[in-house]
Amino acid sequence: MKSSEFLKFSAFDLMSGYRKGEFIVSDVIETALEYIEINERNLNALITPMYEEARSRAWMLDAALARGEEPGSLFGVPVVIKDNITTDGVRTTCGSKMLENWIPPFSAHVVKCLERAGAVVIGKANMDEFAMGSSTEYSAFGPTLNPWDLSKVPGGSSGGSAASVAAGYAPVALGSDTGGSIRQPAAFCGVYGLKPTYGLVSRYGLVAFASSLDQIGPFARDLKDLALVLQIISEPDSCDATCVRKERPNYMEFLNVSSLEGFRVGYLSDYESLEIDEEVKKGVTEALKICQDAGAEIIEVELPISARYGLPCYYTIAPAEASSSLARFDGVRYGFSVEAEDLQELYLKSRGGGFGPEVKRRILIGTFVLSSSGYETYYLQAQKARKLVVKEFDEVFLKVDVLLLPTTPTLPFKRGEKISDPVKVYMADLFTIPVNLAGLPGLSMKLSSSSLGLPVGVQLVSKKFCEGDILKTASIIEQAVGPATTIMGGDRK
Amino acid sequence: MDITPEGLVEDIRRMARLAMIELNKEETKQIVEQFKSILDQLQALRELDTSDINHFPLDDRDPTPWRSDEVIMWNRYNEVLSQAPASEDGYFKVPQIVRDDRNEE
Amino acid sequence: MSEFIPVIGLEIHVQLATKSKMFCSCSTDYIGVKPNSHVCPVCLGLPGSLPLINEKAIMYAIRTALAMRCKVNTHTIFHRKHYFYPDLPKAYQISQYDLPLAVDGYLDVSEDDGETQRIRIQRLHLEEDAGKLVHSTASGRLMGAEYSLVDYNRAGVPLMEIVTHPDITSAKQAREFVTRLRQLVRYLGVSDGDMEAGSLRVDANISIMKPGCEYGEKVEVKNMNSLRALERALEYEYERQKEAKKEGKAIVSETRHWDDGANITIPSRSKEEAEDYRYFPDPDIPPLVVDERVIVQLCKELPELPWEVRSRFMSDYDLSSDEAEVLTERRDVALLMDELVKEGAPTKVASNWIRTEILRVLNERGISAEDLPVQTSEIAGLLSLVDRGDLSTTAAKEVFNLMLEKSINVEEAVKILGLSTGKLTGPELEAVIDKVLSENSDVVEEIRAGKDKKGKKIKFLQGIVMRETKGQADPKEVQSFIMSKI
Repeated sequence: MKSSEFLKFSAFDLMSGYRKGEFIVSDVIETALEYIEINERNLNALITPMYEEARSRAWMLDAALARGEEPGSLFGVPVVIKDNITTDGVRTTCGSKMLENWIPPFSAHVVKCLERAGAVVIGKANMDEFAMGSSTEYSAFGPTLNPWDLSKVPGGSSGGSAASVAAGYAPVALGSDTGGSIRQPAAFCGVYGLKPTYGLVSRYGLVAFASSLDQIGPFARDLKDLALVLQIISEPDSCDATCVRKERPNYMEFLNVSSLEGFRVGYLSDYESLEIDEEVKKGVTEALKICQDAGAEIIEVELPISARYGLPCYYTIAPAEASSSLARFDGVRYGFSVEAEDLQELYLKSRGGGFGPEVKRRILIGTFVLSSSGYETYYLQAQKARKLVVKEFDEVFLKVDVLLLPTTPTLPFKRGEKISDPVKVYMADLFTIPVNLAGLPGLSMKLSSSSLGLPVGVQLVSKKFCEGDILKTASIIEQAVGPATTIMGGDRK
Repeated sequence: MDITPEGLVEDIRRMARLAMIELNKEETKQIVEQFKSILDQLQALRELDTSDINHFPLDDRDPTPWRSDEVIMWNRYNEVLSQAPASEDGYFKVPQIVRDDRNEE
Repeated sequence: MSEFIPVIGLEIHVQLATKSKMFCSCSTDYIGVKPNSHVCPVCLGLPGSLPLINEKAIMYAIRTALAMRCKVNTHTIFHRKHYFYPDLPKAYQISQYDLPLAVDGYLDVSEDDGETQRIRIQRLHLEEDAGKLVHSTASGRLMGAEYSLVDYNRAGVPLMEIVTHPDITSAKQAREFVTRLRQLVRYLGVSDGDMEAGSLRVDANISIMKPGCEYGEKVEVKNMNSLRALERALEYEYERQKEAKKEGKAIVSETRHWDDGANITIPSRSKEEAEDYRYFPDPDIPPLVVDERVIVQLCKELPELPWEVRSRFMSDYDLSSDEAEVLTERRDVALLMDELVKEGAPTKVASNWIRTEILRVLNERGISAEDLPVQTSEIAGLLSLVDRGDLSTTAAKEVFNLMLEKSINVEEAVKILGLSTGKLTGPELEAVIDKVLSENSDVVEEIRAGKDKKGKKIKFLQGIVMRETKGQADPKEVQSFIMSKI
């Protein structure tokens, strides 16, 4: 077997191989690292490839297995971690000059969970700076390219994580989603990307962007891998007061489904008339048909409040919380800092020099909507509007079990196309944002390829803590269209 | 808020001061242009009648958990200090906070 | 011309005596500790860190609120208060804004004339303390320092902020209020309440007005680091505002610092704009919910409050207001008084003994009454002896000191000192007197010769006898024996 075959394996395939003694962790990791070294020149999916760390970890895992130690549930599986999730001893930049050389003295809860399960972290993924963006063009370390078409963006802000999984660097990755930052790049890169229910996965160690919206979630190329990683990272954490303590179900069990009889799948009544790409519409239609064929009841629903007020609501709340989360970057304790004559100069120039334009823009908007002149009109109003969005979803979920929507209005766009007009970029999050506002779980999965070979994704949304309903529906669709595939160097257009 | 171009520039300057971010002329100009269109988007919120929505922070989330009052030492503080942009004798160091501009009598 | 009266409101920050910080498990011990060593990702505000509320801090705050008859909110929210300063690691302080932990209470202060004045408490809330700054100037002052050094050991220590209504009408009353509050937090065991050490900090808002007229412009006064400084600063500020008004000048609403050396308040560095703290509810901290039953339980568990103990001492122990005041100033001392009385010590003697000997020892050794190396029953026994006259006060002091020194009981101490408890009387006394008279036969002769018109020589002999008997004899009996023998 050509060793590059490893790169196409799912996590389960790899673990099966280890168990059978067909290959060892070091083989797989070495292959991955060599592949990364070559492809990074094109893709730029990783800010920090972890060659040394991964090699020594692989070696230790192989030794442990040889000693007869029980392997963990993600034993020897390479994982890519978005660079806004802290990794002890390994720099965590958040895609920003501000933290270009920051080495956290602690790992995020989710990283500790993965490591306890035997995973091998092979790199920190590129991202839009501080998770603000939808294309990974706002990274201080250069853009990541879409593995399916190098002239296109991979989406963002978790573009590096999505591209890594699509390109075969690793079968699974972690990203973060505040307004669509896992789901939209998952759609653009043709992989699975799940944003869990708010509060399911600990945020301890996730550098905060908007604390009431952020969630860490997995990328994968098939549902089994996705469900497994979700299981591992959703372990309750007492260090995060917003992480719920209820027991997590066995997510894998939801994949043993062959019919959607009795299940209600909702779709947006006006989606065909919305300003979205034809291929995207086709994708939704196709997915609905698959569900219907599996016995689901297809029900038309409306989300007028989310449609009209979702974006302004989000673009008030998220920048507000971001302006607060990012205030700590002042050049005093860590991070980018300039030599200054006095304190004020230190603050002004460190923050002025360390942050990129999109981050500054959002901080200023956020500062404005929280200021005494903006608070009532904007922030307070937005938080109240948010409750209306929540209420609208609650009512919809009385009628349906799962919603099937576009993930994003367009197919992957060209690099540089939208960056000059922030409002255009904001529109990319039209279908993902309301899900964050309501704290619901959302999955983007690859449905098909467009006529030009670009991935077409579709989004599944369910009630809070009902990831199972999403997994069931996704499983039926996966059974029909097959799992996601990698797009390796040679296959690319 | 004053949405005239001049009012907007002043507002942005004020916000930049509050947020401690230095903007050059070019950046200020760019942000002013974008601010207007962004704020236009946000105006839609004002249509909503939210008069009967209860006080927003109180909601049906799980209440915040309490931590028992026990000391746990964290021993890696030296790693934090070693990454400080400026430090002295185990302290973080910052340049002049307040100028002394009193007149000499 | 009708007089301007001061209108004073106080804002007091009380550091809570919990073991760990408000939002993390670091030790709250920061004095004399290596800088930046009692820190962690949370209190340093490192990216990715999250706060977790200290249960004890909540309990302590509720206890204090209940003692001041506040209404405790069962649902309360933490807010972020934003500003940039080197001692604030997250560039925001986690505090409380419009839904604080408790509101609407009061504390009574007593006036000179025995009347009490009710000072209303507007609110009580929880927040975290900032780090400490050390400035590079020779004087340690902020102004003009070329650089400053930051220590985050104190960052995150729990603070309770208490705000009064502007009900205080004099500098003296302000001092009295803070004294009462300090006493209360110490009684409740929630804080050391030490102004000099910084565990109790007071800022004041003062304006002046003529009765029946409008409120004047408020001036905020900061940097008063002792009760004395508080009183003097407010007195000064009152005078300054009065003068200004008399001269027709307007009073600027500003912040002023008390300069303890120069005995004046000086305007703080003026800011071009008022600070906009951009308060909003902290999304990392879901609402704090306190069960009604917990509040009821905490109310039940409140110890007897200082003013309640004082009243009781005055009525039950028949003590004067001043005596009761001294005895109840410290809770451990008040408890000792109760214990002594329970062990049979007579109240008057106990009261005196505590106010003289015991307080002296406690202050000298810097200890608490529980730490006295002597059993309360033994002290009670000693006091009973004094009360019965079996031991003079002077002798008792010696006995007590020996007891403390050697951690022994009364009987042993008395034996070691060679005293006999119980009186020296009858034949034993006579023997001593005979001895003294024979040793001083010349004096005896003089008295017999009628040379003691003023009775000085008799007194002299008496004195010797008392010394010899180590005060164990009854002076009257001594006198009658001597008279009869001469």
